[in-house]
Amino acid sequence: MPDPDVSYFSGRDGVRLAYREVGRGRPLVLLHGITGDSTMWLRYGHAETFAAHGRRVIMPDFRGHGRSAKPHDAACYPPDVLAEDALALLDHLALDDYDLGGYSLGARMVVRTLVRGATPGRAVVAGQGLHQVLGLGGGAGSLLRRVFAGSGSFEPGSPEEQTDRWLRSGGADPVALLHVLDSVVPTPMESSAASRCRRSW
Amino acid sequence: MVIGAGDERAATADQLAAALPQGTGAVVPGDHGTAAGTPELTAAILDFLADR
Repeated sequence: MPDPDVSYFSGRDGVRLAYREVGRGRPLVLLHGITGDSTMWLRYGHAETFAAHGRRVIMPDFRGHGRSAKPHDAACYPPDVLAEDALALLDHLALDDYDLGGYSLGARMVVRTLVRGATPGRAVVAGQGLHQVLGLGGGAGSLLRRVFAGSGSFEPGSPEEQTDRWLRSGGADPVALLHVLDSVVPTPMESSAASRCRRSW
Repeated sequence: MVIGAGDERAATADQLAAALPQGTGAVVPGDHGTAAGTPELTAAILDFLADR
């Protein structure tokens, strides 16, 4: 697996956020799924292949994930904060001609980023359905909430038990991840400037 | 829009594609977990991005 250097930028509330890059060419920003990080695009060879086809692949870690800060203060996770972080990265890199994609939660954030004013040439929403994007339930968020609520008490082999075991082994931060889930809303407050997030890394 | 054939989200994935401006859709093998690691996903994204 390629292991590009981790770079950092600041969210609009000052939270320290990480991203990785491989390749040169037309920028392609890729957003990972809940509990994952930017290495999902590196682990399976996606990023290398895109780079080999002339793309500059830019892969942030959502806040609460990977090498980005994982503050435990709920105020650091206002509605749509992950989409705002993606917009902050576009600003940080001064990207105006680029493509944008995401898997699962990343796909929801692609949609939210579009709603909040991003103008990629092309947008990829992978591993997502309209039911979930509308916030009608299902998806990884529902499973994770069950796992966090009942950790250690699941039927062996069930999706809940497997997810619980995986989270425990992976160094995930359940406090941060629950705040992340709470920030994912179908009808967000449009005023992220009201964030009371305390600077934290 | 691209989705694993066995992903529970596939039930409304076509509707998501239809809800997006000039949206198109592709189906790749696997469920929500395994589709993320398939070369078919890479190829579907590349095809879509190249078709400008």
